[in-house]
Amino acid sequence: MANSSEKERAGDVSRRDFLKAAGLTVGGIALGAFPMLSAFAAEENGGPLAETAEGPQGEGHEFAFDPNPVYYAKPAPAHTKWAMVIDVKACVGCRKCAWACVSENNIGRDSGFTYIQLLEMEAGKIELETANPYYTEGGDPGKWYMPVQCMHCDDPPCVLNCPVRATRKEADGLVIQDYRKCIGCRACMINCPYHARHFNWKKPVIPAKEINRNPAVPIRPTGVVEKCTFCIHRIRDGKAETRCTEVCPVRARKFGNVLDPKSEVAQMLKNRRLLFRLKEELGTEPNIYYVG
Amino acid sequence: MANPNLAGVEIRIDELKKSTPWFWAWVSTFVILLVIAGYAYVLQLRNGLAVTGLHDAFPWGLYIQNFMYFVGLSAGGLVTYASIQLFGAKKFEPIARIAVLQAFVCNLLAALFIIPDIGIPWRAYQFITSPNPQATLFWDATILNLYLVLCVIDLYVMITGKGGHSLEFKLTLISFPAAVGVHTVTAWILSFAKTRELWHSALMAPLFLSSAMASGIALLILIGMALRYFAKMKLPDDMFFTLGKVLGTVVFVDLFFLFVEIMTTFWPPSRTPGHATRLGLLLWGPYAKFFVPELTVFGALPFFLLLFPKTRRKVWTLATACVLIVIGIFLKRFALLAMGFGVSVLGPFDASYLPTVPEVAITAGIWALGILIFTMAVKLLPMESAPHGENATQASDNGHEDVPAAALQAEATTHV
Repeated sequence: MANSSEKERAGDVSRRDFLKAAGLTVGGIALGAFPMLSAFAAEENGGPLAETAEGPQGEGHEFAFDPNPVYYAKPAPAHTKWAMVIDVKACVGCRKCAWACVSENNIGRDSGFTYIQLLEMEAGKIELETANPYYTEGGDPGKWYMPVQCMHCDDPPCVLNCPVRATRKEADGLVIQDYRKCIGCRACMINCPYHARHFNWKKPVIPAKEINRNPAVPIRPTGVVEKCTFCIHRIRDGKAETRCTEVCPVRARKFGNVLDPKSEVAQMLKNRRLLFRLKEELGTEPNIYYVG
Repeated sequence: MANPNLAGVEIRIDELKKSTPWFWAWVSTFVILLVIAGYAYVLQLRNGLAVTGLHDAFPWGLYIQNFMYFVGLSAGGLVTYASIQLFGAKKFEPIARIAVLQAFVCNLLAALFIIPDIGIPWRAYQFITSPNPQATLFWDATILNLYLVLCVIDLYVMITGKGGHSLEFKLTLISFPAAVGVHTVTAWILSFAKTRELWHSALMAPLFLSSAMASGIALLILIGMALRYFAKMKLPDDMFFTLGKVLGTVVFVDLFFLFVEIMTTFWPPSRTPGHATRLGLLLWGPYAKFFVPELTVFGALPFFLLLFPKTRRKVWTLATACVLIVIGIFLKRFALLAMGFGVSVLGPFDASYLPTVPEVAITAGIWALGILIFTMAVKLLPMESAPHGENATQASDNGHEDVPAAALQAEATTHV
């Protein structure tokens, strides 16, 4: 499967074996995984897991997918639903993910934004109004750190509010931006609850030798909105790992296909108890899960 | 030389020839502003919206503030006109055409303010080729354009007198809901954003409408007074005073809505940190310098000026109240944006915003264009609503008109 990691990491083997063993209990029912985990997320008590064969959207989410693949990447694979799990207990707020993302995705060095924001919060609190997005050091033991980026929501307010359908949801769960259609009205930025969308106020400037030459990472024109793509150029090309996942020094980020019960993300969602999705009360059904 | 006649509308070129140098000085001032704005816009197209003070945490600024403001001014103008047609407010008859002209020009400016705000304006044809019916912005664009067309038709029917009052009445049945609708949908752009806590309030649309009526009627009174003075248009004092009374009521409703919003935010059992932090920015934070005057000097003060007959029935105090309201609602539109952006949805990112010189120049240019169109329309088109013979007879035939406006005007001239 496209998402199963080829490279085993030293020190992670025992854990993977454990996860595989756990995965066998629900093995073979790939399509049942997501409804189960959403039931888990809702109840947070890990109750009996319903094994039903539902579509990739799970219960209650019927989103009209655009049949056309986005022009700059390969079409969405079948039976795939990408998700990310972020271990906030492990995250030290070093911002390595944010910087790696900038160079991976050809974000203008002078454009004034990163796809990933990190918030430093007081221990025991999830209060965005008093969070600190401008901390310098990170790693403060009295604080905790929450990385936020595009959640690739199942019910994305940005897609609902784009007047010209320049952003859309694809069958593998990615919310993608069509840089050829975007008119730059910024309605999506107004409506995104995660401050995940960014406008190219000026022409992106990137040093020539640092440009990612992958044709699936076009350099955006001035005047369009862009956001985290879940590294669409990698994950649609057989590599089930985003750049931010790869560089995280504490392995706080896990990425994969939740429809594959053997995947690390599916396993974590099943086994970890403390779990939340940011602002899920807005009904956005985000696809980044925070565990602690 | 006979004036040219365009589809039944006499274009009064001879009026233009009789104009004073002051008129041309007035016109050229705004032409210069327009040229400066053109240069600023080229600058913006070349360098991107980075030339504005906008950024990711404050993505909509002066342009959208103006857009919402002008939609309001426009709706206010048309509601005044509709009250003549629908509620028989015949006192306002002399200013009917001006009201519709105001509705048209302001609506046009509102639409124009969208253009510099969007990043790649020439892609906007996709509103037609690839529309998203779930997006509020799509509906706003639709109703805005529809309403613009309705204003032109309204004006044309009024000027030519074709179809008489019966047609005017029927048209109002369409354009009045459109005027209310355009403002409601504009409010929904903000209030349907469920992620912006203070915007996501069902009160937003009524609040928008009350502000729209307040600013629209106030501007109409000011324009009427200016035209009476400069263009020697025959507008009776009494009409202004009655408009002032309506204005006072609307301002009261507007302030009441604000009061309700503030109470809901701060009353201890109702208070939530997200709401309180954000509205706090407007009451004692960095935006207080706009919002507190909006409530007091530009809100309560004009209300009291309009409340007491002694000040309402005096031209200069009425004009003062109107100027305050027109400025106040403009500030309120800014406060509205600050309410949504002051604290980002993801915490305290730097959300300070100050318009830059190019941004102000483009804004001034669009204002100048509006003033130019308005000036030329008043100069070239018959804007005084003294019914023509044909019009008046049709009116009384249809029973919508008892006292010809000319009689009111004659009365007024004796007073003045």
